[in-house]
Amino acid sequence: MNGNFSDHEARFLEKARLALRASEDRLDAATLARLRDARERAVDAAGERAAGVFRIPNWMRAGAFATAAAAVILLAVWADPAKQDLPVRSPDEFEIVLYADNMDLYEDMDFYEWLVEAGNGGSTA
Amino acid sequence: MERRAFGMARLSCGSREDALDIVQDTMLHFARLYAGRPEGEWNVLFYRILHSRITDWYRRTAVRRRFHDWFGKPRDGENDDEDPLARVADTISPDPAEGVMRQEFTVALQAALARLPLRQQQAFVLRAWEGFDTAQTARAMGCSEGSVKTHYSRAVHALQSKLGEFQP
Repeated sequence: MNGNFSDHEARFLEKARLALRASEDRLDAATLARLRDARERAVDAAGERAAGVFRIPNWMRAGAFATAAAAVILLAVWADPAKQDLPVRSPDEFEIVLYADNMDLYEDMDFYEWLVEAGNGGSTA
Repeated sequence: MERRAFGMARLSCGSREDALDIVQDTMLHFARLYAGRPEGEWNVLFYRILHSRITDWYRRTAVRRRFHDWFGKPRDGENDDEDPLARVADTISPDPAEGVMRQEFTVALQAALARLPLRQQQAFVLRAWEGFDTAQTARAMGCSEGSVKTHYSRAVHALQSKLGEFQP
C-alpha cells in the first residue's frame, strides 16, 4: 500500500491507520444503536429482495400496464356509442326524435298506421 | 463496516446526523441493489455508494452554503456537534500519557482530514483506513488510478505537513 512512500511516510501512514481504526471502537452508544438499526433495515431489505427473485420485473410490469391501457383505449374507440346503430332509421326521422312533443306520436306510429288502414282515421278513438 | 463508513462520512460532513443518514441510505441502497453480487465485490461496491452519497451531500451543502452566505443566514448544523472522540476516554493504551498523545493525534488527524479537499480525503481514507489498493480505490471513487495516485499523494503530504508535531 505504501510502496511509493519513504519509510518515514510509511510509519506515519501506519500510525494514521491505527488511529483511525481505533476511533471505530470509541463511538457512543446512541450512534452504535443507530448503526445497528440501519444494518437491520438493510438486512431486511436484502431479505425482501431475495424473496422476490421470482417476482415480475419492473419493466415487465410497466409493459403490462401500457398494454392494458392501450387495450382499454382501443376498446373504447371500437365500442364508441356514436358508431352504434342509431335509434332512427333515416336522417328524416331525426327531426321527429328531437322534437320532444311528438315523441308519443312517434312511438305509437304503428297504432296510427293501423288506424288509417282500418279506415277509422277520421273517427276519435 | 458501518462503523468505518460512519467515521468516513462524519469526517466529510462534520455532522453526526448527516453521517448517520448517509450510512443508512448507503446500506439500504447496497442491500437492495447489490446483495446478490459476489461477496468479493461487496467492499468496493459499498464504498462506491458511500462516497457517491458523500459527494452528493457535499454538492448540496455547497449550494446551500452559498445561498445562506448570500442572504447572511446562519448555516444549518454549523458546529452543531463537537467531536465525541474528544470526550471519550482512551481504553486502548495502559499508559495514560501515551493514551493522551494517541487521542490528541487522532483528533488532530481527523481535523486535518476534514480540511482536505473532498477527493484527497476520499483517496486517503479508502487507501489508508480501509486498506484498498489503487485499483479498488479508483473503482470506489469512480475515477482513474492515476487520479487516485495524485489525490492520495497530495493528501499524505498535506497531512504530514499539518501534523508535523506528531511525526513518528
